Amino acid sequence: MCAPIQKSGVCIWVSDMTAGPPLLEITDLHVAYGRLEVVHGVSLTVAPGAFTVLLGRNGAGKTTTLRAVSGLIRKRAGTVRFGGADITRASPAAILRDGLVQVLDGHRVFTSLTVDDNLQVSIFGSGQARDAKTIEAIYDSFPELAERRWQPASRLSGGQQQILAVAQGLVAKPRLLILDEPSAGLAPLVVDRILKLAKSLTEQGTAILLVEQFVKKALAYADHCYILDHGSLVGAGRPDELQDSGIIHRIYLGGEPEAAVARS
Amino acid sequence: MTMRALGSGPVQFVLAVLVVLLPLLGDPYSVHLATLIAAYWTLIAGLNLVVGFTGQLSVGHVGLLAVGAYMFAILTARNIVGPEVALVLAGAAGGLCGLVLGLPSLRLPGFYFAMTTLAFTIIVVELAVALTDITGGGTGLIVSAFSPPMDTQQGQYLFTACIAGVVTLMTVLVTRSMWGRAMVSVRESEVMAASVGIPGYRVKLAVFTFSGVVAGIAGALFGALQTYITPDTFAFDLSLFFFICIIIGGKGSIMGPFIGTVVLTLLPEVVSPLAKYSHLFYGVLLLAVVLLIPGGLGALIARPRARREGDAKAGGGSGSYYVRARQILGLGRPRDDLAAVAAGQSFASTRTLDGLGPAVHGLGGSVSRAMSDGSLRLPHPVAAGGSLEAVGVSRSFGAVKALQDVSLTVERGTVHGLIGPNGSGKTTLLNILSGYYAVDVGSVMLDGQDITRSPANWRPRHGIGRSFQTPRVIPDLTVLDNVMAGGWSEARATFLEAFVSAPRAILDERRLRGSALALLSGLGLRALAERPANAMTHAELRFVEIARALMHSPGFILLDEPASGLTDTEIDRLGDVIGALRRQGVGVLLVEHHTDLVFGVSDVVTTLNFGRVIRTGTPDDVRTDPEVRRVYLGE
Repeated sequence: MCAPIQKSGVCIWVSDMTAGPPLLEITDLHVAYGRLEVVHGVSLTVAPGAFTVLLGRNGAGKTTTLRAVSGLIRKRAGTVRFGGADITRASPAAILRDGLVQVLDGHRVFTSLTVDDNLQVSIFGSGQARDAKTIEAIYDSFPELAERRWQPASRLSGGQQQILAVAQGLVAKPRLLILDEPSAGLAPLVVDRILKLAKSLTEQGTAILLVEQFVKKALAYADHCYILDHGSLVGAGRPDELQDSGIIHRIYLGGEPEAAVARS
Repeated sequence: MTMRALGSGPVQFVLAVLVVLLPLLGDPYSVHLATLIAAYWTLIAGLNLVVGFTGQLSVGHVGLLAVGAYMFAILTARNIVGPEVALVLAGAAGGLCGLVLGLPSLRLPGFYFAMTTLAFTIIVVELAVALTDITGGGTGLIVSAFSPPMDTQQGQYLFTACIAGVVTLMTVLVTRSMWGRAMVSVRESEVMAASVGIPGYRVKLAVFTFSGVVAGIAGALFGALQTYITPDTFAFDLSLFFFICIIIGGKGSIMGPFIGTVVLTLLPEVVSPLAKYSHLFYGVLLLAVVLLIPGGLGALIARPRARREGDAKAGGGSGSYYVRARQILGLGRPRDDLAAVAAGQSFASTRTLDGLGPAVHGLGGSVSRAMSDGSLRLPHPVAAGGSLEAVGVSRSFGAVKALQDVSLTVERGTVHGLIGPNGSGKTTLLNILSGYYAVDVGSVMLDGQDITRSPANWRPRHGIGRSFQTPRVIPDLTVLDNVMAGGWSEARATFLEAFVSAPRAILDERRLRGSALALLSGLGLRALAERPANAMTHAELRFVEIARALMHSPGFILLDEPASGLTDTEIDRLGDVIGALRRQGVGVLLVEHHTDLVFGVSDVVTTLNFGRVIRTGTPDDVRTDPEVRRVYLGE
């Protein structure tokens, strides 16, 4: 699976995309709240255009890891590289403009702005030029937002706000889109729609890093999967490998993760 | 350890008394300053309940101080009553003004309330200038001294310090009662407070009136100390000074604002050449506190103490004289001490560090076992039969018709699932049933009675509890205190009883604590009771919210997406909890997108689409309905 890349007039061949340099590379990340360390040396990579899933129980440190990556909380130690550049100390705004966009959990939108303004703000923050086509494409994908286009986001239901939050991530045209529990509060049909949309993005070259409690659905789309428990990585591999090893079952049923190492 | 705890109690009490007596050794000026601090603190202790605990930003307390001072001066100057009776009447006048000011203004949102209190102060001062016959106008009034033996400087100081001490004790006691929990609930979220039946306006009004009473008394003490008052004495600066003392002290602390008062009163005096820069100094100090110790001085002093308290508690000092003395001094036990709210943070960190395993595993295993034992029990049994009904309800928001002619009946002892696409009106219906939204057309019936017009905080008190889509808890308080906040309608003690720790207030605390611990045990969260809510995982908070709603033994509980963000195992446990509630006769309305859960536990399922009911029936009927599959479930 080789893809030609045109570079300064010379055609070079790059082998399998997943074997190339990773788009996101987290190395030995430690994060603490006060004196309480909750992420203990997590290392993971996301390849360009890959659909990567991060699993783990509530309180395992998934959201904390993701927020540290986006620069929203301070890292105690470790490095984060994105597209080859060190972004460990970069500001959240700079990281966003670099093309690493995160949709936070808990339907966070600007409730006093209209739906349309929410999307415009996101485009502005990502440093893109204003482009009517981008927004129209979003309204095509999410007709429920098109209907409410000129209404303040406070008028949307919790689930619709969640859809808007995902849409905000999409219009920023990210190189890597991090989705933290995008399905929370969404109707089953919409969950499928959003996961399919994310999958289609990877086909266009955008990488996805997804945290999700719908484990089976997430694994159905994933190329690669990591499992966190107690703030440490306890498993990594292709979805089928992990399912065969039984580690997912053990983690979610509260077994002892240490005994079930399935590193790859 | 017990010996040490008991031994150090009297020592600390004696120390406190010595501190109070200390200024008497100094020159007359130090006695004057100490009296001034005691008078200021009397007012600030009351204002602290308004600002630090209830979260209402009043910048107008200097107006209430002026009312008290003028009342005292006028009554004593004309020999209408003796100074001690005048002191009481000054308090009454302050309380009356507080009540009259609070009645309209406490209905306003924060910023407008602050502006109203500011306007009140301006009016009081202008009146003092204008009513020359009574107040002496710009030339002011001479204020009489108290009767012997309080007429000497030392006597006056001890008298003022005693009153300040009593007021402090009262505020400590009230913050430890259900009323204290109610104040903090109102501060954090009035929506959440209403969901457990706390009438926010009434709580705010009661607290504000109390602060008016003590501000009036402080005015009399202040006036007697100044011996001469003019309208200029009550400059707006003084209001800011009171406010800053509390901000520097930290929200939800009593010791912090006290230290703030002492420091801010003394510093300009001690460094007297700098007195003219006192405003600059206040500004710098305020910035320093906000930037360096956001929790205020209260957090700073509570930090090392929290750790020691852990030891003392392990020694079984609970209920001992030692603990009582600490309570009186406002030092308190972190686990039930609203005054040590900020301590919770660091207390939690140390506790959670070595106990991380249990915290994360809080829901692991114990919940399901508890369920199978049937040990989740409501504090009181629920009456059998009856229903909660929406009858022909319609509601629009602007052009959006959120609900159109929706009828739904939740029977006691059943689970009613409510599903539908995003924006189909599920939460709107839940908000109408719990009183947060009014209906345009239609009615809400509880056991056949029309309750359409009853307010949100009435419904929990009549057996309708709810949870929120995003858990709403008080992050600084412990899990136990958060759950106990749900017991408002079970508490019997009045506001005044809470101030003196009357037997009923103590009984309330004991009973609510017992109920809350039993509920937490039933949910498998007993181990988390003493931890602050901000250290809990999302899943744990969901169950804490349910425990809080169960405190008043609701006949109906409305759950808004309780499984959202939970893992499959946790959802199974949630299903067990819902089953246990159903068996005890509770009617459950379950708004949820996890269809396995909904179809697994519900007796009846209603599907909404675009604000209309498209199908109501048994789970099997609804699951196989082609319309439901098309708009919601997918194939």
